Amino acid sequence: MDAKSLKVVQENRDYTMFSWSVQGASNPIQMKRGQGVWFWDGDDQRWLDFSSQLINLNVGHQHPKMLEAIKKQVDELCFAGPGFATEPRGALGKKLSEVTGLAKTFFTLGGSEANENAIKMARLATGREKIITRYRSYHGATMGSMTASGDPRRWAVDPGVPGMFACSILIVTVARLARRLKRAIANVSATLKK
Amino acid sequence: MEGPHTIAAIMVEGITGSNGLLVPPDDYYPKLRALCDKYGILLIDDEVMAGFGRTGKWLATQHFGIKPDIVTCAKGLTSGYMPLGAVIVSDKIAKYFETNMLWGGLTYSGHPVCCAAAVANLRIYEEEKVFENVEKQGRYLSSRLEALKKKYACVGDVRYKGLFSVLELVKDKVTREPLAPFNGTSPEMGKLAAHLKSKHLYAFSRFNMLWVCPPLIINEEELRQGLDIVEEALQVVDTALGKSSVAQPREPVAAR
Repeated sequence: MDAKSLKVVQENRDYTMFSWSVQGASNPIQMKRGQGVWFWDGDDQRWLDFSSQLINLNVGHQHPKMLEAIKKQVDELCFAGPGFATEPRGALGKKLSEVTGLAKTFFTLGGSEANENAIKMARLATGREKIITRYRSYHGATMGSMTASGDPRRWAVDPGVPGMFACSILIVTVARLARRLKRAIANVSATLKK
Repeated sequence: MEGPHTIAAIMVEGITGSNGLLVPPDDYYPKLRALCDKYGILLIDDEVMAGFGRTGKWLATQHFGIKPDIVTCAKGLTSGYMPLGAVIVSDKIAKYFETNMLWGGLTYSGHPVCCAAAVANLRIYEEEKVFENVEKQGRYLSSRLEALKKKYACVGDVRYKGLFSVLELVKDKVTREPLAPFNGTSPEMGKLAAHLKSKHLYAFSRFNMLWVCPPLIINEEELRQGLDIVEEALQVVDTALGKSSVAQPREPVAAR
């Protein structure tokens, strides 16, 4: 790694914190550039990205249509407060209704915040309090969304926000239960015969 | 306060992502939907990871023919080019807030640059037929994963939908003893990750699982290159476990 790349990694390590890491053990790869499914590290070595970063980089790195759209909006208007109407906001809301079959969208900055707001809206709209979620699930790292998660990462925020319960939601039909029993009995009798 | 009338919502990931890619059986969502309807409970579908094409449809729950009351999403909305999340609500909930206060807000809600990025991203999905590619590459991915499961002793299970997939690694195919404990790691998982890293394959692993979730625009050649490296890493694990990779293990006694 050249001196410049070493400095980048060092500054990141010295002055910033890395998520889900014992800081002393974090060993970040410098990302210098990316293209499609590939990115290049501080040594200009090419990596194949098999996890779309955090399972989000769906259209790959540096898609020209994405760059163009962002640049166009930056030139036109970088910011409007949440109470204002803008062209991209309305267009996106309409498109989301079209592809999901639902009615209206409230925008946040990420998944955790989306789940926090979904929980709040569900409580407001129903007048009820409890939120049931699944054991072995992840809904985000903020206090509420983490409380809703059935994941060992929740332990750091426990007891968290009241009224949320991660549990097993098993839906077993009688027919499937019967099939399972039959199979279990067959297995036991086969084992006994041996 | 007990009973179904105290429950506001049931919140589930369309397909559970970072806890092991759990694809529900076909009748799961219709029955969960019916349960919610019976008791007036809202169904919140968290599509943050599975949403917008990862499984080949806009939403993972669209594979199962149900409509949630609320959808949350983020990652696949802008592909991460700008930070953006969304809560999309049903007509009924939208109507409630027509005459009732929405007690919530964010300074950056509806940020114009983020929204413009999302509009472009959703347009790319359609213009470039990205979901068709997910189906096509997903077929190749699933055939390779099934072959890996047959060939390598350490592969206990593979689960997938589109380009959303995981390999569950085991010490023993019959007992399904995990290669690393829940919420832990092991020398063998360390070896697996180290091999992938040495070959410059960036992949997410946690506990005894390895995810294969490439960008949705990947082609077969790129997928093949990565899966070949995964295959080498599985060989490293089998060798470390002292297992022969080509041996065909007998089916677990309690076959699912």
